[in-house]
Formats: sequence, C-alpha cells, structure tokens
Amino acid sequence: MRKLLSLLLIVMLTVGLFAGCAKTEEQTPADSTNGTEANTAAAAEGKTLRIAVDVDLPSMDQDVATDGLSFEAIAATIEGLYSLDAAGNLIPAIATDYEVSEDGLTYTFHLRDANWSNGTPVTANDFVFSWRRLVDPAMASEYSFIAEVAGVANAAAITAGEKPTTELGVQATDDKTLVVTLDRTVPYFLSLTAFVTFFPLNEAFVTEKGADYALSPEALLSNGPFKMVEWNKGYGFKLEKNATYYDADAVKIAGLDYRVMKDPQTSALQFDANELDVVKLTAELVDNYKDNAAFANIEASYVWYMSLNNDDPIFSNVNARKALQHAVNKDNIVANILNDGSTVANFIVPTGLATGPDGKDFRETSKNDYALYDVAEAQKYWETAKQELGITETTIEILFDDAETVKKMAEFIQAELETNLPGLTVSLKAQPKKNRLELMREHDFQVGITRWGPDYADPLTYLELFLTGSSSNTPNYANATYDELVKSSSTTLSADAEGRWAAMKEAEDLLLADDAVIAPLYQAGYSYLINTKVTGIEPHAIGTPFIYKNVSIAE
Amino acid sequence: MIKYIGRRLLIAFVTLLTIMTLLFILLEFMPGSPFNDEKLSESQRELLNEKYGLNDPIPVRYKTFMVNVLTKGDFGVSYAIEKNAEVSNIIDKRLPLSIRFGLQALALGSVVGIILAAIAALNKNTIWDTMTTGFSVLGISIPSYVFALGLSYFLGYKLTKATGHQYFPMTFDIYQPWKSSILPTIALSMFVIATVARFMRTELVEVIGSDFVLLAEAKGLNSRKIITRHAMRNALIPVVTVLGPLTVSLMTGSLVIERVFGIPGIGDLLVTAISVNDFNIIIAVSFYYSIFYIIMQLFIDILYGIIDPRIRVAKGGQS
Amino acid sequence: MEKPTIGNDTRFERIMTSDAFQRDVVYEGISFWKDVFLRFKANRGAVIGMILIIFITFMAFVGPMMNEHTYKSKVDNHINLPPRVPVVENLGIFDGERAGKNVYLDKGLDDVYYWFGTDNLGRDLWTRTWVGTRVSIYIALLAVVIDMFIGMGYGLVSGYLGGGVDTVMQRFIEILSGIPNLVIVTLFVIILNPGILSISLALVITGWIGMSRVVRSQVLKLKELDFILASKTMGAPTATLLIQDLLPNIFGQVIIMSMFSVPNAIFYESFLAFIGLGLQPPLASLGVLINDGYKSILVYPHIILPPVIVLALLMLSFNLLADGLRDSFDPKMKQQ
Repeated sequence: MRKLLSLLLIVMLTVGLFAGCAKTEEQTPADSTNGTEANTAAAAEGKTLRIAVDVDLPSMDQDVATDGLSFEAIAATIEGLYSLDAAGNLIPAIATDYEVSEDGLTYTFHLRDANWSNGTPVTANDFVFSWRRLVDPAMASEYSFIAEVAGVANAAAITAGEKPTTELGVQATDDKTLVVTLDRTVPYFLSLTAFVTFFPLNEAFVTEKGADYALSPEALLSNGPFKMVEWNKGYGFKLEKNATYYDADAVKIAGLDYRVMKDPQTSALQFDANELDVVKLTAELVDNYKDNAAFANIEASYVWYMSLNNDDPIFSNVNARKALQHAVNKDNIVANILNDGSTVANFIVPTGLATGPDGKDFRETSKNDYALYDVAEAQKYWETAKQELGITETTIEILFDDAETVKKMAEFIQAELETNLPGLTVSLKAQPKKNRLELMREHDFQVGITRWGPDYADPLTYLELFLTGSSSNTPNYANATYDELVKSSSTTLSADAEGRWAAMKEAEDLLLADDAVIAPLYQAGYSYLINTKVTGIEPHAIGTPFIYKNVSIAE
Repeated sequence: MIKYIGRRLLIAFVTLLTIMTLLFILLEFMPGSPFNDEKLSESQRELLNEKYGLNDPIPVRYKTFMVNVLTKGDFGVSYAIEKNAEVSNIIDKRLPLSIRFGLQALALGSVVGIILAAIAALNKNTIWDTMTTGFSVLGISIPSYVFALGLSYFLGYKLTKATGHQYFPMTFDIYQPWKSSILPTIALSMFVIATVARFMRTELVEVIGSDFVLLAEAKGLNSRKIITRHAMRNALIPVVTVLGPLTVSLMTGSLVIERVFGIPGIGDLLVTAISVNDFNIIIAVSFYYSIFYIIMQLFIDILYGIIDPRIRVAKGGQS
Repeated sequence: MEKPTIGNDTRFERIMTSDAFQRDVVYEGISFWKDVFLRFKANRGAVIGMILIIFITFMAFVGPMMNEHTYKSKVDNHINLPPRVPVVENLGIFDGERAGKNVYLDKGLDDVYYWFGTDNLGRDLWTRTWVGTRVSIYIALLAVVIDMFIGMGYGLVSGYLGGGVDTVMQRFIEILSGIPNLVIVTLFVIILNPGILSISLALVITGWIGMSRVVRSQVLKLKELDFILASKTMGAPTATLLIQDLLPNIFGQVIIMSMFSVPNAIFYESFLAFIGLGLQPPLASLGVLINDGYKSILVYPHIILPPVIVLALLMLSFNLLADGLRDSFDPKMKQQ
C-alpha cells in the first residue's frame, strides 16, 4: 500500500512538474503569434529600432512619470505645443504659432488639426484638462511644481489646495485656440511647452479609463509619431508608427522596440550579434568599443557634486569646505573611472543648459574655475581649517548610494582625500538610494555624493536648490544675500534679461567661491553604441532624453 | 492522514499570518518613504503620502492591509517600479515565469545530480568518483553570474557567430520561450546539480555500506536493482530536506540569472523594490515566498513518511 | 576467534599447528579522537585539502605584506594593468601583455611589476586578493561555527524531543525563513551601516536553518533505531544520548552541510555586495572582488581570475577536507 502510494506520489510530482511547464507553454504560443504578426506587419513598412534600457518603464502617465525613460516613451507617443529639433531649438508641434502680450503675461497658441489615435481631434481643451490635472492636489503629481516654475497663474495656490483647479491660468477660447496667463514674466516659458507634463490629454478617454489610464497599451492614446502596441512589463515594450499622426510621412521607421536588459555586458554582446541597435555602455566596457564606428558619446546636463553639510562641526568651517573643493583630482575621475564622455565640473550650472540674452551659453561668460584640483591650495585651506577648529586629525564619513560607478568614485575620493589632506581619515557609507536621500534631507551626514538634473533650460533650476529652507538644500546653506539674488532673478528682475543673468552669476560665485557650499565633481556624459546604419537619433540634455521621430535606418 | 493535513494547513495559515504581521512591522522600521526624490518639496511629499494612505495611523493601515490581502488578494499599487499599477497584476505577470524556470532547473538539476551521485557512489574512490566530486565543487565555487555570462557568451554568441546558426539564443526571448530558456535553465541548475550530487553521494555510500544492502546482495539482487529499489530510497531523505528550501528559492527567482538573461522574474523585482522602497511589492513578493515555503515544508514532511516508513511524523508526531 | 586446542581431550587431533593462527591479535585500545585522527591521516585527499587551506590562510596573512602596496593604495596611471611577474615573464606568461602589446612598456613602466595586475582604480590585485581571502575565510569560519552550534543544536533538540516542542520549534523556523532574507539584511545594513558586523549578524539570523533541518531529519531517522532504544533502556540521560549516540552518526551529513554553508556564506556575502549591501569599501572580500571583476570580464578578464581561482581552490580544499572528516568521524567506517 505504502509502496503504491509513494509510486503514485512520485508520478504525481513528475506530472505536476511537466503540467506546470505545459501550462506556461500554452500561454506563450499565443503571445508569440501576436509577436510574429506584429513583426511581419512592421517589416512591411520599414525597420524597427531596437533599444536596450536598464530599467523597467515606470509609467506612461505624464503626471506620474519622473524619469528619463518614461519621458522618452511618452514624448514618442504624444506631442505637446512645441517640440525640439536636433539642435535643441523649439519647433512647432501641435501649436502652429503663438502671440504673446506686451507685458509678456499672456500667451495665445493656435493649434493645428491633429487627431488622437482613436480618431478624436486634439483640441485646446485637451491642454486645459491636462494642465489642470497636473496641479490637482488629488492627482499629487510629483512634477506639479513645474507649473509654478512656468509661472502659470495660480499654480502654487491650486497645488496647495487653496484654489480650485478651474482657477488655473489656462483657457480654451475655442477648439483651436489656447490662452495661457502667467503671474510673472518667465523667460523660459516657451521652452517648457516641450516638456512632457505640459502635453495634452484627451479628457473623455482619460476619465473613462480612470485608475487604469496609461497602465496598458489599450489604456493609452497617441497623437505623436508612435503609439504603444505592446508592453510586457519587466521585459520591454513596443512602439509602432502611428498612422494617424499629422506628420506621419516624416516617420521613416516602423517603430521602436525597447528591451529591458539589466546586465550591460549581455546587451553589449547582443549589440555585437546585431540583436540591438542602441546600447548604453558602462565605463568598464568603453575600452573595448572606443575605436568602434558605432561608439558615441552623448552629453548630459546632470552635475555630480559633493554636498558638504554646513551644520556639521567640521564642515561648518568654510576653509574645511574649500579644502575639499580642491583636493580631488577630477581629471582622473572623468578619464579613468567614468571614461564615458563626462567632463570635469568646476561649477554648478552645467555647460549647454541655458543661453543668455547675449546669445552665449551661461558658462561661456562665467567663471569656470571654482573648484580646480590644486593640492597646495587644498592643503593651505586644510591647515587653516585645522587651526580654526583646533584639531590635528579627524575622521569624516562620505555618504553615497550603491550605484556602481559611484562606489568606485567614492573609493577614489577617499584615497585622494586621505593622501592630500594630512590628518584626515575618510570612511565610506554606502546606503540604498532612498535612504541616502532621506539622510541627506534630514542633514544627517557629513559629505554626500549626489547629483542634480535640470528641469528647464535656465540656471535657476540649479541655483534654486540652495535657497534657505528648500527641501533639496542638503548642505543646509542659509545666506540671505544668496536668497535675495536668486529670488530676484525670478521676480523683480524677471523682465530684465541682462540684470537677472548678472544676478545669477553673482549667486553662483557666492555659492562656490565665497561660501564653498558644495564641491562640484563632474558633468555627466554617456557612452552609447549606436548601429552605424541608424541616423537621426536626437539626444537632449533637458526634458526628453531622446527624440526618435526623425530616425531612419539604412538597408 | 486527512486530519493531520488539515491540522497542518491550519497551522500553516497561522504561520502565514504571523509572517505577514512581522513583515508589516519590519517595513515600518525601513527608513525613508517611497516618495523622497530630491525634487519633492515637503508639501508634495505630504500630498503623496496622503494619496496613498501612508499617513494613517499604523493600526489602521495594518487592518486595511490585512483585510485587503486576505479577502481580495489586493496588495495595493506599486509606488515606483510600475507606478500605480496593481501589485497583484505585476506579480501575476512575473511569477509564472520564475516558477517555470525554477521547476525546469529543479528537474534538470535533480536528474543529473542523482545520476552523478549514483555513478560516484558505485565507483567509490575511483576516477569517476573524483570527477563527479570535482564537478560538483566547480558547480558551487564558480559564481553563478560568471557561469551564466559564460554560457551566454560561448553558446549564445560565439557559437552563433562561428556556425552562422543560432542554436541557443543569448537572452530570454518571449517569442521563442522554450529555445531561449535552455541556457538560463542550465545556468540555474548548476547549483542544484552540485547540491544533489554531493548529498546523494554521501548518503548512497553510507547506505551501500549498510547491512540491508549486504542482505540484498546476498539475496543475489543485481546492483542496479539494489541502487534503485533500496539504496536510493534511503538516500533521498536528506536530499529532499535540502531540496525543499532550494526549490522555494529557485521558484522565487534568481536575481543574477534574471539580470544576465533579461528574464522578467520576481527575483530582480524584489531587489529593485527594496532599493526604491516599493513597500507593497516587497510585501507581495515576500507573501508568495512564504506561501511557497510553507507548502513546501508541509509537502516534505508528508514525503518523509512515504519515503521512509520509520518516520511516523504523519501520525501526528507523537513519537 | 577460534582456539584450535580443546583442553586435554585426546580424542581430537590437532591439525592446525602454525603459530600464526594461534596468535591473538589484540588491538590497542585507542580513544575515539585518536582513531579519528589516524583515519584522517590515512586519507590523502583530506590531507591535501588541509594543507591547501593552511597554505591559503597563510597567504591571506602574509601575502599582503609581500609588496609595498596596501589594499587601498592606488596609483592613478597604473590602472587595468595585466599581471607581470619578474623572471617568469621571460617564459611568455605573466609578461604584462594584452592583445599582443606589452601594456607596461607602452606606459613606460619598465621596472614595475604587479603579480596579479591592477584593477580599475590602479590598486594591486595581489594584495587585494589576499586581503579579500582573509575576509572570506573569516566569513567561512563564522558560517561553520554558526552551523555547528546553533544549527546542529537546534536540529538535535527539535528532532529528538519531537512532539509539541518539535512543532513549536519548526513553526519558529518556518516563520523565520518565510521572510525573505534580503528584507532582514537590508534592514541591518540601513540600521547598523554596512560592514562586517551587519554581514555577520545577517548570517547568524538565518544561516543555521538549513543545517538544523538536515540534523532534524537525520535524528528523526535514527532515533527509532534499536541502538538508541538500547541506550535509552540502559538509562542513558538525554544529553549523553544526543552527544554520544546520535551525534557521531549524523556527523557525516553535518560536515557535508557545513562545508556547503561555506560557499553559501561566501556567495551570500558577494550577493550582498552585488546589490550594494556588502562590506564597507575599499575593504574587499573574494566575493566583492569577483563582483568588481565581473563588470569588466569581457574587457579585462585578469581582474576576475585571481579571486575566482583562490575561491575555487578554497572550496575544493574545504570539500576534500569535509570528505575526509566525514569518513574519519563515521563509526560505521571503522570496518573498512
């Protein structure tokens, strides 16, 4: 009996095993037929661009998304009032042109005839709905502050729940005319209309889908060059050419095929095997591909810096902070550790971010030597600091998160500081990113390695960080003069282009030279492998990382 | 037997509740909220916490959480990985894949492992024995990601390049789910092979040296029959003990294999969720992990009684 | 056994006259431990394993002192150098060449030798490998100790006492292992900061469960056997029963299991490093080194090789040793 039972059990187990397998098998052929259909359909119209990404797509909802990949995917499917060309200039998209009132407070946009992928026309009301949704406290959009940055009337009060969303300074006078009222002049307002959160949404559709909106391809509408056809969460997603796009003739490829690959070495191999067209390289892999024709460096606007906690007993001393600014050989970080086209940063407002009234880049006309590597200088400051603090030796802790190049960079900085600053011992504290942010927000650290990416094309996106009491002011810097300078450039001086430019330069000088609040490290760049047959990928430093509308793939 | 299983199931349920409560408490200790990006101001954080109910007092949240999980299998929504998507949906998509890979690796690993062990035990202290030992040592001393990447590189990339025909896809591909699962399965099964071979050999050697096998030999049974009928069965106990938890960890996904082969499983999901404080996903993955674990434990205890009649746990464990 | 002569009885003729058969072999009374030692000594594999472990441990302490580099000192223009060893380089191996070019000479480093090469930061891999070995050996020892004391003790008690005690103890294990390790370890790292201490604690909390389970299942199997019953009937106290009767019989499995927990612990640590929760850099373990090396395995394979080889040797010798110990401890092996 027992024997029989055991036999039965073993049989059941094996059958169970294979049944388990068989079950999954049943599901997959269905998928695969879908896939091949999609493939053949795509093959008929042209080629698909195959892109490797290292994270899952977090969201397709423009009021929920906060990251580059989401922005990129949303911008490939939806177009806003304006878009950017390859050089980063504004080009008309859904808006054909605009008028601005003399006081610079009222913008009137005229919209073209365009349709959503379900056939309904894109109207001015789509913008009104979307903008109101952005600032709605019930939506709690993480990017709602951008409406306030853009100066849209009443944005701050609405987000704070003090006024209803209908009070927002945006109106549709008719289906094709959108009027935006600002509560101050904002020099960079137009450039923000190309930002994802200001894109239109079809009210009827979004309301109908409710909580399911943007969670699956079926719950998405497109008015842009591509539309989402497949979203295999965790695996990848597919965008296909949108036939109802007003400029569909300009789209030369059949679609975009994103694949989530978390191991950079596998994706590089896949590139070699011609299974992928666009692959991001890590520092370690660059050496292998530096001379490859497909190798490309892309500049970004992220600036990495060491935040020096001004509340800390040691770093409350300005000379200690200055010592740190000068003690790290940043050329080595850029050349050896990152190796990916990043450049040394001796400033906080990055290169290529904003163009001034004189038509020149902010950096071109500002000082670029705030935190030069200079051991003698560093040691001089360090000796003064030690005297002032009454110490001969001390230990400091560097806080960073566990991303890979950051760990290596932290190890490098540790060695540099210990060698260059006598009497200094450095310990390293790695924490998961969310906890690192929490510690820095609470000012519970000494030195923190962190970064900032721009939200809009103006130096303010960096300078506002260090306003007294700002939540992103991790060093807890408090200087009334600095506050005054920064605030004036978005209030009293907002109409005076040259005056505010000068004020912002002065603020940066105060921040980095006089008060040495932070120690900038480098401005990020990325290395990519891009199939040599592919042309027309447009990288952008702000907002949407890549625009794929004009991509073409040679035979 | 039925009464016993019923009682065990009841205990299992209580265990599960305890685990869920513990998890809930542990996550309370997790510093940092899912909403603490550099860009967020205090008031925005407040809004987000309010929206997702993170501001409610702990007992209220505990109650809502338990009720939702137990009555609807609802773990709430993801905060970061797939924002606002139902966690149960995310898991539903990924779990079958992880289970499939886990079971494939388990099946392959056990079969190969048992064969290797039998070869080694029957040829004790010969070159065969040394070779299988060497193989299983290799299996546990080479880090799985090195092995996985090696497979992908040599069998996926190099072989395709050399022959012009793709025998093994380099990465997992949902459009050819079987062909592309060969390499990940092999990579995943290495550890199983090593473990099974090692334990099984030790046991087999012991069993073969014991009196009842001698008796069987004396009865004139051939060695194959001895191995399969008598020795194997006795040697299975410790193997089953080790395989139980191993199966659970196999089925709940292997981070490394998933990353190298680009498989959307739940191993990677858990690690990512922990690093971005996506609490609901952490709890949900842990929940499934616990369930698997408890079921496996129950299963093993019953299996003991069947494999080895001397163990009478099945009668309620009064012995 | 046989005594050929039976008294003075003349009815029987003595046919076996050879002395050899008359001599009674008297075994020297040897203690259990001496017996174990003797059998261990006779096992060549085990001895080799032992010697290797001693050698690796020795290198772990002496190796880092054999050149002027420390595990954290870096030289900025010496990054990613392949191995180069004096004298041996003339044989065409370890000559600092990569892809047919001598990297050292290209950089003008004629008199510079790194025996294992350097890593991405320009640190000496020889020193780092041996310092890493030190950490890994510590973790291995810790794992074995935890297994031996907590795991074995728990399993013995749970399995032997059975009944209600067993049920409660097993439920406790179920709850403990029903929570994914990673969640617990992350909490440790966040609350206690990364480092040896958090890793040790993480190992202590869950590392012993597998062992306790194997021991319990063995005890369940053994305790119904006659010799335990006999011992029990003769009034042996529980502790004696457990230690003298049960323990030697399950030692084989225990040794094997604890040898498995060595690589498990070492890899667990490197897994933690993989997800960024490991040791405090720049301190490294073999696991951390393998992880770091893995990132550039396609470009600079020399970085990953030393730690992988040391680790594999360490594993192999632990296994050889384990096999030898198991055979020596097992009372049933006496006859052979």
